[in-house]
Amino acid sequence: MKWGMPVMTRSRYFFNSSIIRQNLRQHGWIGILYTLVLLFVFPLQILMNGYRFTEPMEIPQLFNIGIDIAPFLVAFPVGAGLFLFRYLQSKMPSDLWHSLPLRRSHLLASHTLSGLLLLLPPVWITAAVGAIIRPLDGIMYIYNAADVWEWCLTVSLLTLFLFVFTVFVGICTGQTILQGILVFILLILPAALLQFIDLHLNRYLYGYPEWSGLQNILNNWAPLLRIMDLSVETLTNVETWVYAILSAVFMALSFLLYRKRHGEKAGQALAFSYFNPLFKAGVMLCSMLLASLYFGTGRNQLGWIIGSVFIGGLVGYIVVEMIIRKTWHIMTRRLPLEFAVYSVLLGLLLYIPVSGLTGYEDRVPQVDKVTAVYAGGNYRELTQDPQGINTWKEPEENIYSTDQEYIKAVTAMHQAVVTSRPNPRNTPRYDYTGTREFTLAYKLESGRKLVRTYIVPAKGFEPELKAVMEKEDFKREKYYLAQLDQEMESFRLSYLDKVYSISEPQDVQEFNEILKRELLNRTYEDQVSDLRALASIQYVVKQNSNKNQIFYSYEWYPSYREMTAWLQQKGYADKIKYTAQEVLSAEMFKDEHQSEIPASQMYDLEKRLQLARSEKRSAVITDPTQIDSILERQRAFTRQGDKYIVKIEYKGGAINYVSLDERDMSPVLKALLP
Amino acid sequence: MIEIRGVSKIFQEEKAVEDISLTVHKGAIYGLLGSNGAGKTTLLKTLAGIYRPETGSVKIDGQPVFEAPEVKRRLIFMPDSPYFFPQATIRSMAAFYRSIYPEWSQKRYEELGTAFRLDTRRKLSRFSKGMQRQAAFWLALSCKPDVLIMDEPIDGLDPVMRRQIKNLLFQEVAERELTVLISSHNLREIEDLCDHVGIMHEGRMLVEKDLDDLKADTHKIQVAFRDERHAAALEAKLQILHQEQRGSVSLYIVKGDRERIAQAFHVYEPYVFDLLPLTLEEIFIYEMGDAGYDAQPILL
Repeated sequence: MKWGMPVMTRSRYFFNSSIIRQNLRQHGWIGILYTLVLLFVFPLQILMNGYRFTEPMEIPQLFNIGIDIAPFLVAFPVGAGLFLFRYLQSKMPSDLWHSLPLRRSHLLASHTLSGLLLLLPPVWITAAVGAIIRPLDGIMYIYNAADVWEWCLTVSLLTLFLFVFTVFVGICTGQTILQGILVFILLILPAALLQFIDLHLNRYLYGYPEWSGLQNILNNWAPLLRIMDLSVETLTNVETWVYAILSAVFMALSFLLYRKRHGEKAGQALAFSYFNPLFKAGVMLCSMLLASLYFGTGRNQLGWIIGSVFIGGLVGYIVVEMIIRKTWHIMTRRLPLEFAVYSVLLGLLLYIPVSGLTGYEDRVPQVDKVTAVYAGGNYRELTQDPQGINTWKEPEENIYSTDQEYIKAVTAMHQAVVTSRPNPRNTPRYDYTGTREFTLAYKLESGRKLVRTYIVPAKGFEPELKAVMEKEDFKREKYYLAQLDQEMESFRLSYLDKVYSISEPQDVQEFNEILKRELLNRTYEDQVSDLRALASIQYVVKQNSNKNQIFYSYEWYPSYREMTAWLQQKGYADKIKYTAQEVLSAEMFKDEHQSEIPASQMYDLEKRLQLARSEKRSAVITDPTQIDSILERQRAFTRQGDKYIVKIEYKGGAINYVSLDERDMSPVLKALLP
Repeated sequence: MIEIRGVSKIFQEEKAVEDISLTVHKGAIYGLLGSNGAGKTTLLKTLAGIYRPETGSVKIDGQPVFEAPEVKRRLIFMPDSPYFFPQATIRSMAAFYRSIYPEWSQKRYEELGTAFRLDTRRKLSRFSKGMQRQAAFWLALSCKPDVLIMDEPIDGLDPVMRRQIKNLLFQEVAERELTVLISSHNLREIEDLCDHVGIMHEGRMLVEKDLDDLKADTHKIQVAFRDERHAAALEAKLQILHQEQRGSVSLYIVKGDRERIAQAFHVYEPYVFDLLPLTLEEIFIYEMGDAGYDAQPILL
C-alpha cells in the first residue's frame, strides 16, 4: 500500500468506536453508579416515601422529593470529565493516545461521546422508570408526564453542560486536580465576582444603592448555585436555552483549543501560556477584593484599605505564581516588576469606578430630565422579592410618582445630601429617629434609571426631609397604601398581652378608610417622632384562591386623632388600652451613670434600674393619674442618655419598660425623683 | 523516507531540541545517542507526531506527520516505559490496536506469540517491566508498521530476549524494509543493531555517521618514525582524524583504505608500525574530541 493513501477503516468516522468501547470498559462504573444514584433520588424515593393511609400529595415538580439531586448532578458529570480526560493530563496516556493515527478532533469527539454515553442513558432510564411507576397504585405523589419530561430535560441538559464544561477546562489545563478545582471555581466565579464588585462599590462609592438588584440574579450567574436552587425553582425556558447554547459554545471552544494545545503540556498548570496573564489577574483581583472587604470592614482609614488591598494582591500573586510554576521557589529578578505592573493596573481597575472621576457620586438629575421618581426606605421590598416571601406585590411601575413638586423635593434633598455628604458611619444607622435610609430612584427622560441610596440624618436636613416626607406620594409608598385597597376580612388590635379582633364588615370598612386618611395626614414631625404606638394593628386579608392567609401590620399612634376618637366611640379602645388600675407597680429612674454598667449589659434595663435603686435615684409612682399619663406618652427606648425610664409591671404579669423625654415629665413626676 | 529539517522544540522557554536535521532512509536502523536530557525523547515524540515542532518540518515520505492519520497509521512509537490501558491484557490491547491500525496482521500476531510466550489473558500491569516491553514489541510488530520508533528499548531486557528482538528487527528490516529509529544513552547497547548513528547533546546533533563506512574506513595506527620529518611528509598524504604523541611513538586515527594506508607508512620503514581496527566507541570519542566535546560523559 502506498503512503498517504486514504484507507477506509473505522477510524475514518468522526466517532471512533474502538475508543468508545475502550472508554466504556475503563469507566463504565461511572454510568452504573450514576444510574443507581438517580434511581434512588427520584423513582425509589417516590416509591418509598409517604404513608399508606394519607392522601397522595400533589407536587409541582420533581426536584423536591426528599433527597436533593444537586450534589450528584454536579459530581457525576464533572467526575466523568476528569476521568475520561485524564489522558490529556498524564504523560504516558497522553503519549499513547496522541501517537495513534487519529486526528485530535476524533479523539475529542470520541471521548466526549463516551462520556455522554456514560452519563445520559442513566438519566433517561431513570426518567423512564419514573414515568412507568407514575400510574401505579400506592404512590404517594401525584405528578404528571410533563413533570417527568421536565425532569428528564433539565437533568440531561445540566449533565451535558457540566460535562462539556469540565472537558473545556480540561483542555485549558494540564493537571487533573487543577482541572477539578477550576471547574468548581469557575462555576461559582461569575456570581462571586459580581457579589464582590457589588460589595466593593457599596462600600467605597458614595450613594451606591444598598440593594442594587444584583443579589436577586446572583445565583443565576453561578451554575453551581443555580443547580442547588432547582428544588425551589426549575429552569426557565430562557435558562434552558442559555445552558444549551453554552454547552455548544464550550464544545466548539474545546475543539478549537485542542487543535492548538501542545501535547507536552500534560502536567503543566495551564495548557495555553496566553491564559496565564488572565489567570493571574483574575486570582489577584479576587483576592484583592476579598482582602479589602474582609480587612476594610469597620476600618475606613485610607492606609488600612490600601494596605489590605496590597496584601490581598500579593498573596494572590504568590499563590498563582506557585500554581503556574509548580514550585514555591518563585523568586526571580523579574518578579517584583511584574507584580508591580499587575498591582498598579488592578489597583486602578478597583479605584477608578469608586473615585470621583466618573462623576457618579455627584450626579443629581435635573428636575426637567426626570419623568418619575421614587424615594423611601422600602425600595427593595417594593421592587424585589427574591425569596418569594411577599405574598402581595405592587407592580413596580406604580411605585413611581410623576408629581412635579415631589420630583423637585426629592432632587433638592438629593442635592443637599450630595453636597454635604453626611458620613453614614458617624450616625447610628438603625436609630430611626436620628437617621433615615433613603433610596432615590429616578426614571429619566432618556429612558435610563438612576438609583442611589443614602443614609440621611434628620439633623441638618429637616427642611429637605420635610418637603419629601410630607408629600402624599411618599407616604403612599412608605405605608404601602395600595395593599389597603384589598378586601379585608378583619383586623386585630394588640398591645402587650391584650388582643382584640374586629370583624364586623362595616367597622372594618370604616376603620380601613380612617387608617388611610391618618397615614396620608402624617406630618414630618409625627413621622420622625419617637412616641410609641398605642397598639399594633393587624389586618387579615380575605383569603384568595391560593388559600394563603395574608396579614398586614400597621400601628395606632397617639397622633391619630380621628382613629383614636373612632376607637373610643366604638368602645374598642378600652378593650386594648391599659389603665392605671391594671398596673401593679411603676418605678421610675433617670437613665444616667451608664458608664458603670459593663458594655455587654448596656441593654439590660433591669441592671440599670438596680444601679439606680442602689444609688437611691429611683422612685415608685403610685398616683393613678400619673401612671395614666405615662401610659399615654411612651417613647421608643434609645441609647441616648438623659431619658427617664419607667418599669411598669402589669397585673397580668407583663413587664414593660418605657422611656420618657424631659418634655413628658410633669412637675409632679419630677418632684418624685430625688 | 524520514526527513527532519530544522526542527526546534521549546519547553517552558528552554530549547529541548534545537535546529535538528536528520534523514533516515527506508530500511535503515538509526541509533540516536545521547545522555539523559539531550533531547532524544523530545525528538522522537516530535517525529511520532505527539509533539508539534515549533519550527522546521517532520516529514515521512514527503508528508508532515503531525495530525496526519494517514502517515501515523504506518508508524509505531514505543515509549521508554511501556504504557497500556489500566486493567488491559495483551488480548484486549491487541483488539484495540487491531481496530486502530488498518495494517494489523493477525497472522503476524499469532506467529509472534510463539516467540514471546506471554500469557495474553494476564493483566499487563502485573507483568515485569521486561515482559511489558516484550508485549509492547509484540503488539508493535503486529501492527506491521513501516516506521518503528523506539525510545530506550533495550532497558530491562535479558540477553536472550535482547538477541531475539534484535533478530526480529533484522528480519523485519530485511523482509519488509522496516525503518527503525532507536534511542539509547549507551553506544555499546546498540552498536551491533544500527547502521547509522547520530549523537545528540543539549538539544543539538553533534555527529551523524554511517557505521559501516566508519568501521571499514577508520583505523588506529601506532608508529615510531626513523626521522621526524617523515611524519610531516606523511600527514600531508593521509586523512588524519586524530593525532597524539607518546614519547617517540605517534598515535594516528586515519580514515581511508587499509591497504593504501599501510603502504604509505611502509615507504618510510618505521621502527614500529601497528594498524588496528577501532571500536565504535573509540571512533566517536575521537570524532567528538575533534568537534570540541568530551565524549565520555555524553556517551558512556
